[in-house]
Amino acid sequence: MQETVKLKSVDGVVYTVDRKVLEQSVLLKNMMTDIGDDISEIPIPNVQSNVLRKVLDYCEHHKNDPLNAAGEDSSNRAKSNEISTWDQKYLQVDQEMLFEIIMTANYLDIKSLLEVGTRAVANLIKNKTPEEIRKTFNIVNDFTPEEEAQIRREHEWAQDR
Amino acid sequence: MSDGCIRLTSRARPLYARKNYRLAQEILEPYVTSTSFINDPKISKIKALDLLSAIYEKQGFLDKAKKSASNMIRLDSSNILGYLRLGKVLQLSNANSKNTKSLDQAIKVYKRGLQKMTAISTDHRKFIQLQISRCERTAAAIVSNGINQSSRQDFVQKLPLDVLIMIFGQLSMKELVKCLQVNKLWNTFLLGVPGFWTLIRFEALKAPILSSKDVLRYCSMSLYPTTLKTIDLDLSNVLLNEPVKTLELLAKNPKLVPRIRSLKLNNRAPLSINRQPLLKYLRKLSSDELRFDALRELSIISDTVDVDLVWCLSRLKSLEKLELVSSSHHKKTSVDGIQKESIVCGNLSELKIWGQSGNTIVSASLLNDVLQIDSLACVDVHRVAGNLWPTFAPVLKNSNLKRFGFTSEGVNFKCLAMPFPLFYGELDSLTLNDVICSNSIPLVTSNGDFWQPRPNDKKLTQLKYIELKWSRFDELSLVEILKRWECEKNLETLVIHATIFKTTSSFPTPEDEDFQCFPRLETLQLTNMRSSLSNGMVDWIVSAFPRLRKLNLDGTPISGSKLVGLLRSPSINAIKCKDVTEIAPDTIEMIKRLPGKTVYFN
Repeated sequence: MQETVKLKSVDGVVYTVDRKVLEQSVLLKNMMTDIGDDISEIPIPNVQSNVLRKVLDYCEHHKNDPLNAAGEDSSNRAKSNEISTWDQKYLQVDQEMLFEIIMTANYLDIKSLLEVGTRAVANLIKNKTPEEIRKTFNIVNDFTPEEEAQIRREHEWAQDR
Repeated sequence: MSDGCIRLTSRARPLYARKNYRLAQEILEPYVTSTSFINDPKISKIKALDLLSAIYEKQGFLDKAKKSASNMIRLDSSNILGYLRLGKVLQLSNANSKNTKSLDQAIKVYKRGLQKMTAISTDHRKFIQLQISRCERTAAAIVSNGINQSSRQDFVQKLPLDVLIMIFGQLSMKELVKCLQVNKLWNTFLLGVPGFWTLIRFEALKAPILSSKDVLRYCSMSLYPTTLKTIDLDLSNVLLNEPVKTLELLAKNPKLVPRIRSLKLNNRAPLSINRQPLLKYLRKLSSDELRFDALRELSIISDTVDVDLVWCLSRLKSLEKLELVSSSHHKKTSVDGIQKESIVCGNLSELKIWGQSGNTIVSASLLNDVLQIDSLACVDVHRVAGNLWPTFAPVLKNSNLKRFGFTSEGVNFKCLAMPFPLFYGELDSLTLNDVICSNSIPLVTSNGDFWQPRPNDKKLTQLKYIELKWSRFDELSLVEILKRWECEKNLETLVIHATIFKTTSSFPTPEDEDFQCFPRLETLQLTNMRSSLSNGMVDWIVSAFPRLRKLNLDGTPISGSKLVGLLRSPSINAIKCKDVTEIAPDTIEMIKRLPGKTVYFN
């Protein structure tokens, strides 16, 4: 079996990657086993080359991680609630890139990357006021002042702590 | 006879579900342009095109997806599927565009669909209208914000539903409520996911002591959104100021109580707070007023000796899972004198009773009656004192039993230790902590006979999980125990902690006749063992567990050469170990570089 596979992004850039690195993607893993050896180049439509490069960086760094499986003891799981230092640094990208990474991880079915990515977004929401959340994600407030006051009244109980 | 469309669509659909879009495409694509396609029935042609269009769309081939969708409408202009598909593709193709052309087209398609469909279900109509308003909103935003919009699109609109659920699912109730106020899109989306609102969980915050009024206020506010059917109330992380009153108020609230499906309480408190035995008080209240009719799951962690099993079982009729944990250091108390008729819990399937530090919370005789409930499938009793054999004989005979967990008080429980084939059910999980097993102690059954092994005794062939902690098996080695239980076929996890076995140097090898192979075992824990791993044991682990992936050896002494011996196993990909002796720094470096294996040296 060939050791490497070529991946082609939507804008035509080809990356040569170890099979083992790609096996973290369930989609690509299935594809490689289904099609077998005569696979020479896999097109990755709808993913731009810069995003694909970034996602491959992640797979490269985590290629030796034991795959998550059942039976993990609880202390391990508790630890995994945090984002590791490498991953933290890896995710220091602008929001647009972060969402692109998440969408690509979802499409290629790379579970661990999807998990850290969504965790990073959740962390962007935590401990902020609604106005701060809007600012963070550049969202326009489309509530009328009356509607806003109404919603705030309904949920006062959650804010006083 | 089924036509080609149906045949190929049903082949491609599972591939599509597994995200194997390319293969799915290869199956369907050639057929829809072939001549036999033309003669297939209209409805199956539309379904095939619908799937093909979805396959294109997922791979980003939006133009092809558009074409398939347009063909659907052309085939049958009165079928709603085509309009829905084309509209969606058009919406998507606008994602990175700076103008609203595709969106306008999408709106047109949806509206035409609405016109053509006279006999359309209200759900479909609502859905289409929702899509139209979505398109209009996006279009309006693009117009007002100019070019900047496409890259700064609201992620709630951009990301797929399952990803959004992953993101918002990590937020607490308090955070989610703030998100409701962000904008209309977030508000509609979040309220539409009921899973976010059914669990009311209080975290220990600045003021960890909640008054009954607080709890009630939080809970009744959470009745919004009103469509929710059930509530899971988790108070296990906070302290209640007046636990009895809280329970009482909850029980008497006609809006709230029928919806509480799960209740977790914490009745632990520092001495400064007035501790109240919860259930004892509740029991005294008039039973008519208390209607936890929907309660399926009850969990109480308690400091006071108040865990009243009788009350739980006779009042909470729909209870399926009961968990009582006591950490009290009070003197022994027991609840006795239960009438068998008063046990009406016909649904109870999981029972977990944990006492701590030698304290009795339920007497053995009461437990004896409770354990005869036929519906019990999972029993965990830890540190409950009493005369053992009569108590456990019935539970072992319960043929529904799937999970059994037990912690003894050392010497008291000799007779349970062996022989295990007494279980009548097909256990899949067995936990035995702090038991002593010795063949020299004769086993007396409930009839007063001595137990003798019989050929038709059930073996534990269904076991998937075994846990042995703080136990002593002076006359049996681990290999012999596993052989006695005949559990090799299904065992997936084996946990051994601080347990003493007969020391032996002879381990069976694959050549031996009585060699057992555990083909499903993936996780092995051998922690805090007194004796270090021998060469024979290392060989046995490597050969008897061909699919072992994770091995935890924390606190068990092991030499460097034996660790290397374990790493010979091709299946092992993670080992945890703390006390590695006689290991050269080179070896550590080498181990760290092994491909596909991770060794955690603590």
